[in-house]
Amino acid sequence: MSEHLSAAHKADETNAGFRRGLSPRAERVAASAMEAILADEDERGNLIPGSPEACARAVRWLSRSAGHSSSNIRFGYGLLTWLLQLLPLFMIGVPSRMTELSLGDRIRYLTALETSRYGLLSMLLLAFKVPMSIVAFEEGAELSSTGFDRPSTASRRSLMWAEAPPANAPNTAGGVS
Amino acid sequence: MTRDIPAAEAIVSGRALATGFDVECDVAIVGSGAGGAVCAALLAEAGHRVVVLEEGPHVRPDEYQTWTPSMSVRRLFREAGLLTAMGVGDTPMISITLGRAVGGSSLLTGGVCFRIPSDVHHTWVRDLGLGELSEAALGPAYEEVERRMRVREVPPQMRSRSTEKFLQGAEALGIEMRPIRRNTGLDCEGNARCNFTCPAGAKRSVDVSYLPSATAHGARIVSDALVTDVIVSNGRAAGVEGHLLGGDDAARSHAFRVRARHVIAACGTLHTPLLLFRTGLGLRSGELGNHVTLHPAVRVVARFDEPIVGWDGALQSVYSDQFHSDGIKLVGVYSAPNVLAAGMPGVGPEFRRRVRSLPYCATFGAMIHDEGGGTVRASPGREPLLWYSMAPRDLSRLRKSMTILAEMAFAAGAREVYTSVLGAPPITDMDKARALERLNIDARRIECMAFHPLGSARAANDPRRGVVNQWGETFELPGLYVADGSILPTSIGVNSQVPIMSMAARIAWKLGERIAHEKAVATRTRGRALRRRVAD
Repeated sequence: MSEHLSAAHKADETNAGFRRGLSPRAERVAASAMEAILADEDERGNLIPGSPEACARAVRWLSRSAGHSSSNIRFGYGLLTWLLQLLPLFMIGVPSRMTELSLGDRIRYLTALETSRYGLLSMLLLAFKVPMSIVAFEEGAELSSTGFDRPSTASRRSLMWAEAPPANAPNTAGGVS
Repeated sequence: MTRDIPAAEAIVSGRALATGFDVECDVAIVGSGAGGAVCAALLAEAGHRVVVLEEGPHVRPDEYQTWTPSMSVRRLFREAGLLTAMGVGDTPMISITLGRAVGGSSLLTGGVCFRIPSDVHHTWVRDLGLGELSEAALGPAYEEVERRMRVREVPPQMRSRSTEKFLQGAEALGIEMRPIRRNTGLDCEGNARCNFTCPAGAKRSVDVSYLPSATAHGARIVSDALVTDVIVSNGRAAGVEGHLLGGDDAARSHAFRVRARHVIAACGTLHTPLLLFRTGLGLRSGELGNHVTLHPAVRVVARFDEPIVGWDGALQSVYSDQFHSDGIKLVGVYSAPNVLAAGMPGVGPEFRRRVRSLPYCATFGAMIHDEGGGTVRASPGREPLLWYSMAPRDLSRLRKSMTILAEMAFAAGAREVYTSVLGAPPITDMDKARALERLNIDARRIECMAFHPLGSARAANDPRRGVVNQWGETFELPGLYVADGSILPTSIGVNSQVPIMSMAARIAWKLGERIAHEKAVATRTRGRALRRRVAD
């Protein structure tokens, strides 16, 4: 999975280490969910799954974050991935694990979770969608799709400067001129 | 264990130490966030020997300023941002943001600076008998804190177009908005991602506003140092002990001990009770770990026809107290684009379409001045468990606040509004907004967050009603003080950074005087004993 990581994330892992917090099974479940969450349509209206790079980045971040968190979080996500895997029968009436659903059915299943009248089911989706989407939309084509006009989410606002600020520019921009 | 902290730096990484230590000082401070950092600086400046022990890592500003939001979340947020208050009864699950690093949560604030409102001070004095916590009594502390943090009003030109849209709506509805004050001096560039550290270094978090002065005056700070116990000797606090944290998984490595006549617990509202419970405190009043307030918050996203590009401008620049009597504070807010994208509703193509509409979206938030209802207890793991039972009144306020925000958005010309109700279709007019407010829904469908947990070791004027006195000293163990958000006796309804820092400043000033007096008495006693020996 690490072959899909961007240079920034690879550098981060080199500096801070990688400790897996999700089991390989749980990572597969999270990846399958992310593939559906990030799915899009091509020009003909056909479904295309989320990009492998974005999904890998997101799942690896979640696993690593759980690995550096307390046992409460690791246990919690272990449990949540089981639930996510096993609920399609109850949500969309398909007797299959989530990872075995077609992309269309996975989208239908996750949408059913989000729109469920039972808040805990909505929260089940949210527990994966929000943290992993933060990572997925942080770079590459996914970041571009947000319309963000800076090169990176760590970039400084360029409108403040008539030209690019020098590397050692003091932090004295007093406001928009 | 060595008899000194075996490193020359003022801020020592516990991970890098090859051995533990056993040192003596005047004050041991547990935690380096808003409360601990203020105490460390003021006590060190007063000439006292201070050792600060911080569980989280030390990251230099020039390093964290370059991080993307996800890196900040994983490395600076407690539990990598996955911490949640478990809703009990008709209560949302509430995502909690806390810092875990040298500088604590101050690294992750939006920089918003409010004093405690006058009516809250009045309640404390009139209803709770806390005369030492009046607005006038805290005045000098507020001024000191605001001066050091360079608190200024956000100028109108720093408002984002997202905020301008909601201002436009507020004006149309006759809702008065005011400029927010923030701790960015004149340096804010409007990068709109303060919660994930400021890439311009403008935000005066305590690691840049207080801790440098503390270390310049001799304070030692040890990061990656988990305090597990308060040492008790002769019925009073006598120091702390714990373990350094090493390795990728922050496993315990070497033990340390810091001997001090005065200990300040500044671990924050969720962790201070754990330390006090382990010390055997909290049994007398039964108040420890209870009454936690959170300021639950929601936001709405409004989509307009024209481009908004809300990421150019200050993260937060205006607020409104128009609904103060309803316990609702409206607060302008934005965030990094990937974070906003993650919160858009939908799955698959529907989700991606909404993410693509982000440049056309504005956001605004609301925060509830809650009654409380949180409980902190130890868990089998290292982190606490937090339950929260939301008062029915607060839940209805939360829902009403979404309707108000939607009305502002429509008044400004929004096409559709995404509320914080998970799975609810976007609303396109006020009838639908009001219908959504009335709809009988599971509270757990409300996506809710909180940034200001307070009140788990509340101050009181009587040991039966609280954990610490009005000067922060625990009723049950002399020499042990608490200086963080846990001592605030009620919810305050505003961002808690300045209130916590001001309360800590008062505690530090008072403690500094006490230590100086103790030192003077000890010096006189030693002098008399020496003179007697010479005379003999």
